[in-house]
Amino acid sequence: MFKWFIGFCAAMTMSTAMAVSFPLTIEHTFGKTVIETQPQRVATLDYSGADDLLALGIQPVAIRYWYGDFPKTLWPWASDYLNTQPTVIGRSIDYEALAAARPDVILALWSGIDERAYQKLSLIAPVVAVPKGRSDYGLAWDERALLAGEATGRLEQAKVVVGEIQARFKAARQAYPQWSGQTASVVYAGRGDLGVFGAQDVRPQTLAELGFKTPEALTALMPPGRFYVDLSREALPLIDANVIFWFSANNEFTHVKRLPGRSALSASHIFVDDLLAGAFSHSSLLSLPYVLDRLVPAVGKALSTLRTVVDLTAR
Amino acid sequence: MATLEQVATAQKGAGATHMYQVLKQHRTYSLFIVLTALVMALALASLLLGSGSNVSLASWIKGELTVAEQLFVWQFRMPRVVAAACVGALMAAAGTLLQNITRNSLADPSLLGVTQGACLAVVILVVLFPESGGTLKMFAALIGGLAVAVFLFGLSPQDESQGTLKLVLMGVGVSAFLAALIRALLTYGDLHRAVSAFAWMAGSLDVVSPSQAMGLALCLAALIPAFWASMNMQAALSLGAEVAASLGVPSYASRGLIALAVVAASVAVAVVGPLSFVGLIAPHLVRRLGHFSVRAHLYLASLTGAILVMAADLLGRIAFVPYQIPAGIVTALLGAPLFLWLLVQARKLS
Repeated sequence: MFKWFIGFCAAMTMSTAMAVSFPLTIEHTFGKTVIETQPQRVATLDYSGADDLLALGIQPVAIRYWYGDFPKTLWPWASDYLNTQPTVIGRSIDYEALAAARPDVILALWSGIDERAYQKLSLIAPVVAVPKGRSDYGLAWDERALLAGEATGRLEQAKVVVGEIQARFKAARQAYPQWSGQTASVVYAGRGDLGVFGAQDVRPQTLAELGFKTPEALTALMPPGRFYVDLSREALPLIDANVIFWFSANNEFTHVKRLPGRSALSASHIFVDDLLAGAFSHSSLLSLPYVLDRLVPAVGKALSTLRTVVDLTAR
Repeated sequence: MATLEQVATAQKGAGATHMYQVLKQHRTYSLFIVLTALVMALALASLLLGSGSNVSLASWIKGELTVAEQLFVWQFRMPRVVAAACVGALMAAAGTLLQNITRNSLADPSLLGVTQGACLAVVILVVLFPESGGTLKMFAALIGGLAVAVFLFGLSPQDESQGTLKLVLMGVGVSAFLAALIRALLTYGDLHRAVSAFAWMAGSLDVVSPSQAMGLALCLAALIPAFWASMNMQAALSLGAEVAASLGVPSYASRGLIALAVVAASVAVAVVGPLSFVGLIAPHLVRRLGHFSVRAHLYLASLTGAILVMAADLLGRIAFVPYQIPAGIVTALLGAPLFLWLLVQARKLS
């Protein structure tokens, strides 16, 4: 019943949002924003927001720097789409530089802005923030993309692109039906820390689109409302699964290879390089196709025999 | 035979020398004027310069600012300038007061756990209740800072002759404990929330709203009479608790004064985050410029504190465009070497 109700609500909002007409009113956690006409100059404060806008055919006037050292600040899957020189906003927002870019609308759907920042930004242009009740970084990739599409008057395009990516996930699932129901753990291993991402995190969620489940032992470990949990090295057997995805920093996995007890696990291992890890983290309309391009062959190889190690940094 | 010009030049020279003598005799007043002028100049520069666009003073005077420029000057730059000046002055005044009455040149608000108390309150709020707003954060910081001070007062011995030293030592202990709690919360809290807590802890002025700047200015204005009234007690206490007692300073005075410093620092930290170094360095900078009465020292140190934070904010804003360096980081990055240099210079002179 509840599911049906949610579906009905979703259908209602979809049908009303179908035809985006301006002036457009968007309600969000800080109040209401009215966008008078379809924005021509779009600024995004979202850490992967430039990807989504470029995928919708918009050249943003201001973009946010997140991490990575790339020309034009965009990661390789997106940089070819950018033809202009947008203002780059650092982690600490330079309000004047943003205002100087003269945006018609500012997107802040994955940006961590607070009420004070929202007030300042609203002096520059209408700001679209996360919907009420959602956390700063709580929106899924498709929700972000659709909201960005709606605010810029390109909801139809956004739906098409989101649909294409969903179709690619479905195609991969159909090509590898044996993956359904297999378990996958996603582990981060820095120099000193070790931990796992829970089923709510974007990485396991992306894998779930391919049919993989998070091991129940891990879900049981996860504190309520958390996306990841730190583990003791002695708890390594808990992360065992059909396949383990290892995330590290600087393409460095020697410390993972040396982890005591790793060889006692029955899993196959995939060492995820920085670029693919970044594509997971961005989970944007441009990075997700890249994830699929790299991930599907790697998983295929890892699961072809037991206890295989696929090192994606060795390219 | 001296020409008229030569006489005039000689007289001018004598005049300049005389001027210098006057300035030297009235070092307090001249320094006061120079520092005030510096505050004004920095305020003007901060209003005119910025990454958005540099505003020309001429067009501002003529009232020819564009809409965008008005936004820059009044909404973005003015609150920062006012807040920077007030925060710098409040932190420096608190630091000077604490150094005077504890007779310890290491004393500053963070030594009494005020900064850490405020930080802990904000980190708890950000990590455990991420949907709470900016105003709540401000009050949490204020309460956190005050709570630590009240706790220390409760623990400190009633015997006032020993009181201040023990208070400082206990402050160090409590600060270390709170810092460990903060680290634990940031390490085990959600990463994104930790990042937004870090942003606050860097001590940034960029989201100060006009009403907050106004509030800071009002707090400063309200605290000035309190500082003024307490000056004689400060002067007596700076000679030691026994001398102060023999001069008729009541035994509870030092606690009252510490409470005053704590309030001043907590208000500042609540709005912009920790800028602890200013409270330590400003009184020392002034001490290097000459010998002043306790009263003059406090005012000059407050002006110096305002200059430090204003300069740090301006620099952090325009030096590395498009990246903004929070004022708290700039004060520490530039203040620490300056401080060391001053100490080395002082040793050379002595």
